[in-house]
Amino acid sequence: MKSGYFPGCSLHSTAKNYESSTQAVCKNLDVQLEEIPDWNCCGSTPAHQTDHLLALALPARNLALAERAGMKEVLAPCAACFNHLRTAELECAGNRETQRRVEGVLGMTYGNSVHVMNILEFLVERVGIDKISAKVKRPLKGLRIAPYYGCMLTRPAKIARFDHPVNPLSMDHLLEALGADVVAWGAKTECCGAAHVLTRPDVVIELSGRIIYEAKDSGADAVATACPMCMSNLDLRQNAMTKATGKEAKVPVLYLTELLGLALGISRAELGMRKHVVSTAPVLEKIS
Amino acid sequence: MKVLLEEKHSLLEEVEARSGQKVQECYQCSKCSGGCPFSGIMDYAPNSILEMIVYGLKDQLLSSKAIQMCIQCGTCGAQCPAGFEMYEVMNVLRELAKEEGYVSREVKIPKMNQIFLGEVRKGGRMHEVNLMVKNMLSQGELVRDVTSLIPIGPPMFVKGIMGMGDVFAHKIQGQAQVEQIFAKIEKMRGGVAS
Ligand code: SF4
Ligand code: SF4
Repeated sequence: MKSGYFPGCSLHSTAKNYESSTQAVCKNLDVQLEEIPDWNCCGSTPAHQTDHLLALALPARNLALAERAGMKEVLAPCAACFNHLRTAELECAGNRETQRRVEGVLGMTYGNSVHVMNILEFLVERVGIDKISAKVKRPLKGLRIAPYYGCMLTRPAKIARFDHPVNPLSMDHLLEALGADVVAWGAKTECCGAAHVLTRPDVVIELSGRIIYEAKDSGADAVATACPMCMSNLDLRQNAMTKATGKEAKVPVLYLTELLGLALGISRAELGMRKHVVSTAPVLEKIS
Repeated sequence: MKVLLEEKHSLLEEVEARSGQKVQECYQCSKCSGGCPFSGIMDYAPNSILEMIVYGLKDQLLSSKAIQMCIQCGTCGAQCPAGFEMYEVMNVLRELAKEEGYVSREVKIPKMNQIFLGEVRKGGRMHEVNLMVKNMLSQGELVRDVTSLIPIGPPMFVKGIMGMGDVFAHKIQGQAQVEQIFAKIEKMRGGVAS
């Protein structure tokens, strides 16, 4: 199987291990990822907060490039990129006037032929849980994982159009298929504070802290995420959480694709497992 | 998406027309504000914003911090009994504020956005190291925030989350196309795209 691929800026810098684990997992699952040639930044929250047309045009350039390259579907592993690309996809497809205006600022044509997928939709609906579970070599037995969806994988529902906006289950099912013990917990779709980390780190430490402590209290060995922004808020800020609350945080946070890769028997080096601030050693020990 | 309405149209009509959201159908149950991760730091909570639209409190609303803080997380919409999508209203309010030249009481977020978009405009992609450093410098908080950066900066390098390759920005080939997107929108907006 072939699929278009949009890594986005984070997967090329702070989330290199998300990129390496996604690539490794896809290779293992016989999916050939084809990167959109010369892609640009999706504009993320700053474009969204600044100008609506800009917030559509920046991601739409990528859709237009994908279309030219003959791609019908594009995987965007970063949940935020997914949200912005999908917004552009839907708004262009839903309104001729919008499409025309976007084409005008792009100086390119775009025929609305590209469908953008997040990592869950891609793994669960394109590759399929059956195919994945048939390839599991090292089941994640005894590993208690808190599946964290955050906001942008399933919300706003009108944009994501996938799974349930408040109580999604696709990641739960996928992790179960890998043999993990999936923790039922209350913070699976709570917001980590996202881009506010650059202007109000205090608020983000509190919001992300609630998620980490909830995971800890429900006995999770690790949190699984599919978003580089969530990863950096949840993993990098645990010292600050500990300082703010006086209660030790220390919960490893892993990309869903890293957990999947481990279960598929892919080597830690290939997955990029060392690039975490909170050590993932206890997780690895439990499944080795 | 500029819908030209004459002056005599109220803020309510303008917002409803542009957002497609029926502001008057809100029950004022305030579930949205209970769910919004940022209502604690907003100057007006999401449900109050809808009320202010109905009452036409335009100046307060368009210069508020709250409308700059919405990140379209959709938490409110998923809980709303009226099926209301607040982010669409927030988008429209920000758009109106810009068109009409309102200065926001929130200064940090627009400044950060400008730096971020400046990076994208120059190179086609966002450069995380530049973004973090420039954001701190511009906020005049290098000295205060350097302490909060210490737990992030060095571990990022030590753990190999970032490497030397991340310190230098690269340009994409189609940078001129990206520049053109910004320039055209800037022109349409009379010089204020970012
Ligand atoms: S949750 Fe919905 S109905 Fe309730 S106050 Fe908010 S927007 Fe209005
Ligand atoms: S969409 Fe905006 S208003 Fe609604 S909960 Fe999220 S940040 Fe708050």
